[in-house]
Amino acid sequence: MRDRVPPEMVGASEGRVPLAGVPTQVEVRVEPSARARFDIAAEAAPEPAALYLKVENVQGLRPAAIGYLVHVNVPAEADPTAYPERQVGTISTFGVPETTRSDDTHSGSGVTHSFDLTEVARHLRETGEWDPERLRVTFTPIRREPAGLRMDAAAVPDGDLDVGRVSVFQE
Amino acid sequence: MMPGAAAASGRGTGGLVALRHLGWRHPEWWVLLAAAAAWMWMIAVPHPHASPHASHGGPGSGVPGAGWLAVMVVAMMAPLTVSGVRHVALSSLWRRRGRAVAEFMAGYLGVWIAAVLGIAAAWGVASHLLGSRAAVALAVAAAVLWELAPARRRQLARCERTVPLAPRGWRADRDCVRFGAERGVSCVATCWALMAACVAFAHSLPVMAILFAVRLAPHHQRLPSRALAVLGVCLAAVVGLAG
Repeated sequence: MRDRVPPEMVGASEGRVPLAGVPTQVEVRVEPSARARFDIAAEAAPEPAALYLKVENVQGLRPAAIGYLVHVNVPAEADPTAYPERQVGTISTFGVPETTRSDDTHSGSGVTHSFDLTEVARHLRETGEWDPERLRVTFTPIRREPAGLRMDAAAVPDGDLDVGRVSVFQE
Repeated sequence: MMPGAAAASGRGTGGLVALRHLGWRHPEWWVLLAAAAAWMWMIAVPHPHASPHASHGGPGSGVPGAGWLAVMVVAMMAPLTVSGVRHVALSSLWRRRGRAVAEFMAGYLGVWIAAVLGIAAAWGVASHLLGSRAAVALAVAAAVLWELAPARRRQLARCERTVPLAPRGWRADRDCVRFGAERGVSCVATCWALMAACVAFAHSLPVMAILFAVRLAPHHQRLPSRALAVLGVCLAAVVGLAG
């Protein structure tokens, strides 16, 4: 049986990322020493090991949306919802205010999410859009309106939620 | 060599590879090793003022030096940093993992050593003003009451708080030290009374061992039991007075 090692962090964002009423974006720069392995699109690259995206310490007391779609490498100025194949998952804001406050049962760390990035990475490799040096992550708000859920860039009142850090791990 | 690359290359003999992987999976190993070494040192070299009569105001009821107290802090408190060490190590870039853990421990132990020196100074004043017996009774009562206090439960929850760490540069160094210091402050706020009881019983090894278990127990209980903690403090007091 192959002895597994924990996934290694290959890059992370600098500074907090707001989760607002409009899509927000952050760039994760891959560490130079990890780029060779991260370059899954290279000619001689083996089948990529698992890749994970971690959205850490989502905190705040007033969410601007009920959740956020998480996409990677959506072209600048494009509507992320037009790229469902680049969506890695969804963040719910349920419980974020409660876990942001420190009390008897909560440490005040907020909520942390992990997503499997492997399939989206394979798709980007096949379409020639994989960048071994950086990953662009977009958060698109999901709002509940009388006609149903709405996922677009229309302006809504901004809350105060933010993400502590976005990081990428590779096995 | 980074873990992913080494695993892919399969280099090294089986035993060495397994040991290396164990270290990668458990970055806290050297912290626990340091704590074990500190315990062995304290067993081999009791602090200069320890004596069976120390808690009763008899000979040897002084406070040990800063060096001994620092070793005692490593022994008693380092094992409680496991979750913080793992968070720092596994959330850092591979090239700075060891440095990140060292910075975290520096922040944490720095806070605790300063706190213990303050507690020792306060003990000196209290035993001088009230007499050793009354001061010991006060320390035990404070430990019992603090174990039952609702405010302590909030501090205990904060002991598991995580923060995002900058990935590189001086900000990464700053964040690791600051995270360690924040954890240290939460830990001091949770455990100051137990530490005061240790000081009151002149750092008797049996008393320290019991209070160490009292502090460690909540991390391994599904529902931390305040009754068990109070019993533990009382047991430590009985052992300390009988010693």
